[in-house]
Amino acid sequence: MEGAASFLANALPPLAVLIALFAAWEIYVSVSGVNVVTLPAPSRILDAGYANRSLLWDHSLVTLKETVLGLIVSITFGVALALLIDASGVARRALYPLLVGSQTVPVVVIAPLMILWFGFELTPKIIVVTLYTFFPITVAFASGLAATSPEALVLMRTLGAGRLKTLLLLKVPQALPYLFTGLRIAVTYAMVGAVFAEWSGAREGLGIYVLLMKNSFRTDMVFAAVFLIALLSLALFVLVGAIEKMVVRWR
Amino acid sequence: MRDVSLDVETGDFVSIVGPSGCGKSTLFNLIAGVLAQSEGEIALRGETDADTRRLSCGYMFQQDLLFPWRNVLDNAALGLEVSGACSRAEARERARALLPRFGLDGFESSHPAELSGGMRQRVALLRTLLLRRPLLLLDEPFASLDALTRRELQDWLRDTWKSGSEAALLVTHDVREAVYLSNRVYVMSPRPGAIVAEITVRQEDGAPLDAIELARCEEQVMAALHLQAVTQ
Repeated sequence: MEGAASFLANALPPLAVLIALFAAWEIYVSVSGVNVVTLPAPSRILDAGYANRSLLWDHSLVTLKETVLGLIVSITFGVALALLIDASGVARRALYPLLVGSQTVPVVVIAPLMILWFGFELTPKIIVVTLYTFFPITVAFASGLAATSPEALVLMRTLGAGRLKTLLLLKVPQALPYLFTGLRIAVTYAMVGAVFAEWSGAREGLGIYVLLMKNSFRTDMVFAAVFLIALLSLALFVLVGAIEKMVVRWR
Repeated sequence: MRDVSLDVETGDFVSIVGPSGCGKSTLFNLIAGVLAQSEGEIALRGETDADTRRLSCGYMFQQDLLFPWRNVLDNAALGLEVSGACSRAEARERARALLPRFGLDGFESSHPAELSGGMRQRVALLRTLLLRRPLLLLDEPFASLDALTRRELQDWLRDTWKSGSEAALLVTHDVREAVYLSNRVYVMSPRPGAIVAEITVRQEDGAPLDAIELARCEEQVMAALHLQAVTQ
């Protein structure tokens, strides 16, 4: 019951703000008589979304699949990179500036190239999501590994642990809370990455759906899809938080 | 650090007393083969090789260094588990068998955050003693505890340390602690760290000293420390 109470306490304030915003929006639309293609009222967006719910759901599943697969690849790649950076000073000096540099390349440019090289299927989406999200994972996990206390490292040496045992028994568990911090940032971006990749070229998914609706002047459906993307991203974020609570129980 | 020369015999409990910054902890890191000395020789049972020495020392630190993600039993078993001397399950069994003696009965699945400072240091000592390394190195293990808990642990350590090790070396800046626990005390001076006095408190296996004799030894150690401070 306590969990439910604290959930309510956390969820109520943002919900109240959201409802106020929607109410203002609704009133503005009905008072100003603005064109429905320019700005549909929230009630209309809800109606349109509900009427097309099965279509929206099908597209959502495609985008969710890309997002989750992309995140799995991203975590694997990001964690491996962090381990490499932590294991070798040379790797750290050689890779770190390049990694930071890679983040300045706009995804707007990368995504169409990926479609050009890998076609309209799953691969380019996974790559775009990975490129979009591995950086916070790598940086957070690498700093977690580096934050191991020097005394604890000496302890492991005196106990007779080699590098692998020190890594597995001390550094990795120690760095897990850091990894989850990076992961929370990564999941917030992941779905946007998948949507953008679809926007650049796809057969199904919320990204291409938004593009099609925009081109057919169905602004209400564009909004409905956008809200759905936000909601699904939020759900992923909450899911990561729940997994963190299970894994990092000692905090 | 210069002119540091000391010896510890089997059965000895030896303390090194000195002010902060005299290099006591550095000395321990040298003995334990964690750091390499620039000059001189350190031998443990005739072995001068740092790697061999490192595995002959049970090093206990000022901080308990328990892993917050491991419970009491797994923290205590960590050393055995890492050393590969036995399987993980057997390491746990050996740790479990000693829990009552360490006042940790019933706490095997508690996590370090749930324990008091004194209990945490006892888990750390259990982790060290389970390894049965010949030389026990104690680097101010009670410095962060309150006075009552400290005294309790000192009494208890005096009865327990021989169950895992053959000799013990303690560094501390607490003169009373040094005299209370040891049969010999070395006094160290700061910058450069050097051994300036050796005081024999009692013979090995000698009867515990009474309060007056303890006070006299404390005076001797204090005098050596003080003399050092004056002549500098």
